[in-house]
Amino acid sequence: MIVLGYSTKTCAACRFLVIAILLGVSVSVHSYDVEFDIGSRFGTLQPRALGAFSLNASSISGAFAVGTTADGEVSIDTVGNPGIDAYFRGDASYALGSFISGLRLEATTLRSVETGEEAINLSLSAPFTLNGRDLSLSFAPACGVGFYDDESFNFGARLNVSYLAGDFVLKPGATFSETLFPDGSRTLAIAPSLGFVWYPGIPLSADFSVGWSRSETDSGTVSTSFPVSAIFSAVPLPWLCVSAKLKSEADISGLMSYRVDGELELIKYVPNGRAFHLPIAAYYSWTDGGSANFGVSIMVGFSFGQE
Amino acid sequence: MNSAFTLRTICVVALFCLAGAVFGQQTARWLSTSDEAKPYSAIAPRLIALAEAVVAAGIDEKLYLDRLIEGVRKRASPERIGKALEEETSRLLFMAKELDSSGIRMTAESRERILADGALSLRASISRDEFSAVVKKIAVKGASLDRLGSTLSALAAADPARIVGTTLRLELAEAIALSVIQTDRLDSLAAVFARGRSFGLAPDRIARIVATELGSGGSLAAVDAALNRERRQR
Repeated sequence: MIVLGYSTKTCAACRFLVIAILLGVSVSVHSYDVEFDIGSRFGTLQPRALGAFSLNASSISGAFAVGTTADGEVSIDTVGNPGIDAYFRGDASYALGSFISGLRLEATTLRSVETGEEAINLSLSAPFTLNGRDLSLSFAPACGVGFYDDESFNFGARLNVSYLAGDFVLKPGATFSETLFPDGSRTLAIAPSLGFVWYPGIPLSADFSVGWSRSETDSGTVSTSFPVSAIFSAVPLPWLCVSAKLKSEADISGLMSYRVDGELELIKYVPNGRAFHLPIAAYYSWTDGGSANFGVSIMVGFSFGQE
Repeated sequence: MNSAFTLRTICVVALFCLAGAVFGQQTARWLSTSDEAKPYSAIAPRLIALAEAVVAAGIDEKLYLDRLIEGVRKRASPERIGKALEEETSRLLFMAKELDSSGIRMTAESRERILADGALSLRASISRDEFSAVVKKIAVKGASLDRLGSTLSALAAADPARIVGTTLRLELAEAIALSVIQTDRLDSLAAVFARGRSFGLAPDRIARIVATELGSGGSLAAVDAALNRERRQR
């Protein structure tokens, strides 16, 4: 029964991925890029074979623009246990001077062997953006539904500000959301955050973010946490991209989880927008339940596109 | 054989002095007096003629001579040095013509500085079309020559290997020149490209985003926001 249920979910996820890809390529495009990668991942979990796909396409006609992004990764380990991670996003926006209003549809399906999470999420948001000389404001009301392990309906809004201060872009923001569950219970969450991105005069950027998140159920249970992230990205040579990422979450009693990712990608560009990729990535994750995972992936890929 | 060599040397030195009396004095003097220059006596008239063209265009001869000395100290063959100096002269004359006809107000000092920096840029990853386009935009903007140098440096640092397509690079160069970003902040664009690459965006896509945002009056903050919109948000 479990196997049957699991197969149904996997098929649904695959159908969703195919629909996402078809939707992605059906947009009348002015620019696009497509990438395929294959490889393997090994570490504390069973070694896995990986296949990944990504598509970005957009078209701009005067003040009107549409864009789509579709990403997918499928994997299977040495004992036949499959995983899937797919994402689709469709955007439409209209620009009126420095004001941009838009509509965004996002869909995610996930079956993660690492975290054990299974989910399909759909969301619709209507971001409004105002771009100034040194300031950018965006406000995005959104609603969404989640299926499988966390069936729910949620709605909320996110406010983001980007302010240029010297070599830094300061990014205060806040998210408010309410999630409704089938049994009638609900959770209210508010999460202010402060990020800043450093753009020095060399091909390196550093992105830091700290936040506070508070959620309260209608039964009165309150939980708070402090998410922190730091991302460093550099392109020391035209054919080499290096990035390192740290994400952690803590509550009042201490560290709840953290994850460190590092990636080194060798790229060989060839004429007409084509490129060969060799990404090598490693991660280490830990949660306060005592579980820790480590993995290394090596992939080879090919991309092409036009702008 | 020996007397023929002596006669040739006298002729070359006389030619140096004659040429030096008009243009290319520094080059002629260096070629006639430096031990390092002896292996290049056969191409000396050609090198002096190039120096004369440089000086006639109102360019500090030192820019040319420094390049010549650099080549000699690398022990490059006469043929190679001759070809390199022809190309350098062509670059300097091209830039001088572009600058002098642009209407940009400049001091002799700033002109020489941009010629020196521009020659380096044109040798590396900046095309003549890009140089011309940026000069025109700088003139339209009424900006200083410092902005020209900073724009070319920013473009070269953001896309040193010329991965971005030719037409798009031209658009990007013009957008950088005309942008609201302060001149001394333009070097941050290299970091913007690094961040876009870390998001998995293709260089052409990043260039399009940057050119579009800067072209519509946005600053670094708007470019940053656009890159984040483009990134897979999860």
